[in-house]
Amino acid sequence: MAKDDNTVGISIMAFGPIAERLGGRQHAIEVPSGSTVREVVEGMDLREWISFGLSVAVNGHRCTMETVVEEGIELALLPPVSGG
Amino acid sequence: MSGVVLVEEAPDALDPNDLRSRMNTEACGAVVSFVGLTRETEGDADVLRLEFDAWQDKLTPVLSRLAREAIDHFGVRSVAMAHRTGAVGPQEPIVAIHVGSPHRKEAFQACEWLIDELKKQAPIWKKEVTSEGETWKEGLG
Repeated sequence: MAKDDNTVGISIMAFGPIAERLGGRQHAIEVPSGSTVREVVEGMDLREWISFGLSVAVNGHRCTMETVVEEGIELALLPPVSGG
Repeated sequence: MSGVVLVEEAPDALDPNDLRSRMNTEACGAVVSFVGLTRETEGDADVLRLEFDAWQDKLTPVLSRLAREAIDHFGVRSVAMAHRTGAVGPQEPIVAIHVGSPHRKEAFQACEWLIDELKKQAPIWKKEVTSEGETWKEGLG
C-alpha cells in the first residue's frame, strides 16, 4: 500500500512502565508530517507522562518535546529512572 | 588520561567480590565499596523480586561517564561499577561500586556521589514484585 505523503513513519522505543503499558519495547507508527514529539506522545495517550517527568531522545540523543519528528527516526520514551 | 574504569552490565548475576578482584588498584591505599541488595520486605509485604529494565545501549556508556567524572572530580584512582538487569531476588546484589584511591577520604566521597548519580542518571527502571502486587518504583531522574 502506498504511503500517505502527509505522514511519516517512526519507530518508538519504550522503557519500564511505558513499555509495559504499550505492550512491548518496539513499536512502528505513522504520524502526521510535522508532528512534534509532544504530539506523538499525546497521540499515544501518554500525556500524563509528560508531567511525570518523561524524557525523550531521537536516534539516541536527548531532544525536547518540541522537536519535530522526521521519517525513519527512532523516538525513545524514557520515564524517570529508578536504578540502584 | 589518569584513572582506571571497569563498568559492566550484569544480566544474570552480580558478584561484588569478583568485580572487586578484577579492578585495578595500582597506587591505591584504600578501596571503598557500596553494594545495594534487594530488601526482603517493603512495608508489610514480602518482596519476591525486583525486575530491572534498562536501555542497554546506553547503560554502560552512562556508568562509564559517571566513573570518569568521579575520577576527575574527586581525584580517585580507580572505579569499578556493575548493575544487574532482569530479575533480582531478595538479598541478591543489585549494584556494586568499588572506588580505589591513594587515601580513604576521597574514595568515600566518590563512592557516595557515584551511587547518588547512578540513581539519577542510569537508564534503568525498577519494578517491585511483592506478595501484594507489582509496582514500578518512582524514579529520581
